[in-house]
Amino acid sequence: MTKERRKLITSALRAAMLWPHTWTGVALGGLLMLIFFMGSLAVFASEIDRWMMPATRIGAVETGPVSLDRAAVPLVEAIAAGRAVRDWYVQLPNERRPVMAFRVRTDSGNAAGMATADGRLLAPVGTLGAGSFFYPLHYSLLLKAGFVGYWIVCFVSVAMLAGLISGVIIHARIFKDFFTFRSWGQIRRSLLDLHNLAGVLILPFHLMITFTGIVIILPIVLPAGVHALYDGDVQRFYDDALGNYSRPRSGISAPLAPLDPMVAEARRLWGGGEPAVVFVYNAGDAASVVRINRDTGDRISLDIQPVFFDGTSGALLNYRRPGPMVATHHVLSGLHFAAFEHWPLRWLYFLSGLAGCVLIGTGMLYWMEKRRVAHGRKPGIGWGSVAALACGSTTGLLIATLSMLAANRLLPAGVPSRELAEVGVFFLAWIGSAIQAAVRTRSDPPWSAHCAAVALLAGSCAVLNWITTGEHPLRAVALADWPVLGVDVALALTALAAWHVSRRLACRQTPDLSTLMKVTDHG
Amino acid sequence: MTTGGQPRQPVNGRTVPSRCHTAARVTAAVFGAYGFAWGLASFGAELGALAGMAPAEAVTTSSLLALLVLPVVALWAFAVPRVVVGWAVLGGGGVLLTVAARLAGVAAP
Repeated sequence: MTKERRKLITSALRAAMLWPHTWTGVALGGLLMLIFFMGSLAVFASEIDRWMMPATRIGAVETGPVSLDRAAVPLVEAIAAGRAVRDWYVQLPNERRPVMAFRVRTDSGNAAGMATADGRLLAPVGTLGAGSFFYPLHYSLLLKAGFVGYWIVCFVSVAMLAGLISGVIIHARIFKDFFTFRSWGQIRRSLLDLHNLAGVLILPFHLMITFTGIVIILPIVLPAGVHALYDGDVQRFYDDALGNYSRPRSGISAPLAPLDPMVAEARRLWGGGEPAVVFVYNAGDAASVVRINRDTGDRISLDIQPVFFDGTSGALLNYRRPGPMVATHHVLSGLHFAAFEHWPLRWLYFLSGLAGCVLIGTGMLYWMEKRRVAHGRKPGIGWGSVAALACGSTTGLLIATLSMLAANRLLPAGVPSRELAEVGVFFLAWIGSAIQAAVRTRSDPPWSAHCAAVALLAGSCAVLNWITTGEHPLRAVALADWPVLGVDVALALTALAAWHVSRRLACRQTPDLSTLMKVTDHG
Repeated sequence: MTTGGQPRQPVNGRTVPSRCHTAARVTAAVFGAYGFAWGLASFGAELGALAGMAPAEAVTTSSLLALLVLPVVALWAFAVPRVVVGWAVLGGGGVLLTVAARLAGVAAP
């Protein structure tokens, strides 16, 4: 430690940082855990989707480039099922999702569908999957109205940034204690060590992922500049920044021009690259607009380079490159999305995200163990609430997620609104495990019982995949179906680890208060 | 940080602040810091536009800088010895910067 550093971080500053660090963690730890865990799952959303949608496990695309006019356009009417189509888009097949995914907005509600690359419509998948449930839960808590979810997630994220910075200040001996881990010592000590280890080792990732997460929706949650220069019209800002193009319906019907030449022209403008999403706005209207987004798998930046065409003539309407700062914004967003094709980095994102969960979880546990000393054997209602919250947001969240996966394999295809039934199972399991945690928390939350439930659920999910789809690990290896094999292996590892932890916890002696009292620490 | 109904005692030589004091600090860190960031982003956007940046560029630049400042000033609201000073700097600064941005917007052609 240099002299300057010592001056900068005084003991008074460290003491002042302890309060916000502690209480943001205790108050917002549960939400942060949800956001970090679902974000970690979202890294592998495509792979979890293959597991949850067996009909889409159809191997790599071998039909060559998709002809939109032959394979995609005829399906839109079928998906709309007789209703008048307003707008639609199709996500084209890629390495991780071998099917086309359609969203169609009609006069009376939205419709979705999936089809093979050669244009064969698949039966409804009957699930939201990771891409439409775990992932939106990560960034909006599924509260779309008025961007309420965005606001909450961003507020919690700023608190996370403040928590990280204050954590570094509190733990100023950061380089000395870098790799200290004393697992054989007191539980409180090892919790603190694990907290510090997860916090210090992965600190750059945590700072990056939290900051860039807010950056993505910054114009929505900090619209000060938009108010200053765009009179508060966020849509106009986005149109200007991203080079968008839009116009109202004309009311005159007109057929859609061929899409394939537009895709070819977009490719030429990009100078290579693959199309990822094709949008048709004002479908069937003389004022229809076609938008083609570029796939960003070959770059960090989330610059989708949208190209806009006139839907009836096929003429180019708009293609504009962003300025340097907007391009920087795209790179920062891309760092968060990790949409690039890079498997080792994807695993690093996933594991670092889980390390974030460890950081948050051990922080809450450390608080509980420390408070236990202050409260004595009879914990108060505050302690009990935090304990139940910690349990419900860690093991309870795992139970809910695994219950949804199990329901995904168990619910018959004919159940009405099957995808909502799965979501119902998720929330019921979560609420149930949180209530159980609240009721059963005496000197400790029911960690052991929860871990046993996690182990049983994870194990049965892997077995259920085998029974209901016939795809056991050996067959997955033979088919080179790595996504499904990966999810199954992750489930099996989760089951083993959770069972081991559950046994260990069940055999653990309840710590004697007198020994707890004797322990000193530097926190 | 007190426990249950125990009397408030000095911790590490610092007297434990009252509930009202704590509330003032938390609101300064949440609303004061956001107001300050708002002022920075809006003033920065106007300055950038005056300096000839494209509007989308100016908005993006100033918002990113304000987001960098936001968590730091939120923590500073806890570190500043007197909470009144924290509120004055963050809240007052936010209002001043927003007003300055308005004036710059009016002055701009």
